[in-house]
Amino acid sequence: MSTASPLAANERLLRVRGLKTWFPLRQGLLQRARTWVRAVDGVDLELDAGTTLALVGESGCGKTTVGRTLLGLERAQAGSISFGGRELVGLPEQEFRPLRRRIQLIFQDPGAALDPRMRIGDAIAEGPRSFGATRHEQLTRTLELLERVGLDASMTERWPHQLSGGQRQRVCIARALALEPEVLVCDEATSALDVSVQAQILNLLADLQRERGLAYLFITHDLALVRHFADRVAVMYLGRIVEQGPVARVFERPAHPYTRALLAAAPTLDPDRRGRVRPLSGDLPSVLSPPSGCPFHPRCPEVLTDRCNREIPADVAVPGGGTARCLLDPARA
Amino acid sequence: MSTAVLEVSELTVRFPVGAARLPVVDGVALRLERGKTLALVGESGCGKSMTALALMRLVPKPGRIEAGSIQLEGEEIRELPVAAMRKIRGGRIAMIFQEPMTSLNPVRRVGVQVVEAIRLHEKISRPDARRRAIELFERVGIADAPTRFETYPHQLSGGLRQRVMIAMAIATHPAVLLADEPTTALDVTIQAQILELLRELQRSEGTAILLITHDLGVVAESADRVAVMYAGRVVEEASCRELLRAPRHPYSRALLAAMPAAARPGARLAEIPGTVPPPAQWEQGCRFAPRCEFAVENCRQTVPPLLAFGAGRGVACPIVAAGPCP
Repeated sequence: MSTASPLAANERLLRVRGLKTWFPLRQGLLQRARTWVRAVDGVDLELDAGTTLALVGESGCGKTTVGRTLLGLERAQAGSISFGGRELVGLPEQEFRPLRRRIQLIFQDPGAALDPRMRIGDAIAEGPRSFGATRHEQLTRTLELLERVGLDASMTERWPHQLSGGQRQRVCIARALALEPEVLVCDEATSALDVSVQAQILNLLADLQRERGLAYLFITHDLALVRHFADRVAVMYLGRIVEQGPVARVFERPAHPYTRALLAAAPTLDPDRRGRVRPLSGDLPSVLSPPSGCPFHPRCPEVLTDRCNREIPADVAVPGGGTARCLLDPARA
Repeated sequence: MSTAVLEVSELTVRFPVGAARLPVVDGVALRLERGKTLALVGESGCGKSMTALALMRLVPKPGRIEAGSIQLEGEEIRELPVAAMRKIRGGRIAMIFQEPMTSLNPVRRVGVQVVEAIRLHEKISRPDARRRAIELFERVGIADAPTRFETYPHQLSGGLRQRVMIAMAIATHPAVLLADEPTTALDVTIQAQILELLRELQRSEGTAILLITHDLGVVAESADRVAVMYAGRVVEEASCRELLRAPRHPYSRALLAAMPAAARPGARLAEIPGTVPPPAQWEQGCRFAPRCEFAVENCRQTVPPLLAFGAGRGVACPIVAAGPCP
């Protein structure tokens, strides 16, 4: 089932430029779109084969919408998604369909992801079947995958409700792998799992990446997980990426005040750190009425210049890798 | 040692399943001191939330508290009549939950709900209660309190809803606050705000807090002592620092080692093989034995009691307690 076009050596597997996904808020008699919810408002991302990019941010920042747009589940308003050298934005549905197989999704609630009236075996074979695999191919593939994700062959006959949360997530992984994707979007894939089960699933995902050269877009709010698991990280706030770069650099020398606040707020396992950090005040602003200028300026605990509420900061390169969008010199930290 | 505000011993809650009565909370002992936080930690199904419900005498039927003692400020409340218990709930013992949306009435303004909570426990006029409630809103850091007072729960963010719940909980100056996953549904920056608020209220009011959580990061941020639960039993009890720095029980050790924060970036996480067994599959001996790398034959035969391990520390594992640790 290989339809992947060979990539030029210096080409990214996935390159997103200026991506905008807006949702209309229809009002009035004629249901005209008066306002737009700018869920994703100019996002740039890059993802290489065999690597993990973590997309982090708080609820409502747009991270899930980025994932859904990549999968073709939301329509991009503007921008470009280049995948394996092909442009996905504006592609007609018939041409998108064969590409869809190559980007798969697993998400937080594996219970909701599985059809309760479909046996596990059928759920895993559903994808290959819809892409024309024979019954024999479907069965061998299903058994292979079950074994690979650490489940017994007898699972094929079971129903989703008979499985534990961890087992269901393994089934969802098998189901995603059945189509031999190149990119796996993991949207809070381990958030609902207990710590001991989360460790099992993360180890499995790491092994699969090594074996198959899978690229992961890891959408999460859990920074400890990002540090452990990802190669690069992009921090989102109100529909924009405010900082991105290699994980080690971003965690050790965060350049954007929001990244610093996020890292400071994340609990660690060190009881001596308690109370040393002043929490960021205020709530996230609404995407319906984003603040002027830098979207973070109303909550920013650092020195504000008189430009912060007027100018939207542009990407500035940060020493050690990556970029940050702050009018203060991101290199000063 | 200071006196306990809440002292629980041998607490056992059973649920009938077929012919059997399964002990989902099995001989739990806890001790809460004034102005201190005890964290009750464990994975889903370990019995931590059921323990909290039992302390409020709110075990859902057909479950029942079958044994043990619950002493609130020296008074035994396990057998207290329903009417007297109703006075204690929301009075001397208050509770906050993970999702305040499910505890607040969605069709009534939040202010009125707080006023009612106050008037339920105190003879006080409506205008006085209203003034008190607005003060409480300010006390828990709700900006623009009089306006927020008139809003409905859905108009508030998760963080503000939790602040409303906390305002309601502290209205009666409770001796004990049971906080069941109070920040699990919140974003990290909001979680930090709420944990800071709880710490600050505890300092000024001297409230004893029982913090129920699955998140060891939250424990590190707020607990004085920690009790780790597994399959209905407390397997280790220690000071927060001791537990996080040097966990002793094989389960506590495995739990900490499985956390991404504890591992070297990119390294394999330590897995705990298998899954938490449901009550119907609990062993007669140590319930962690089937997943424990140190288990010997005897572990599967007899229930290990919580054994003293150094000063003020208990470990329900004879192998660990016998010392030099494996």
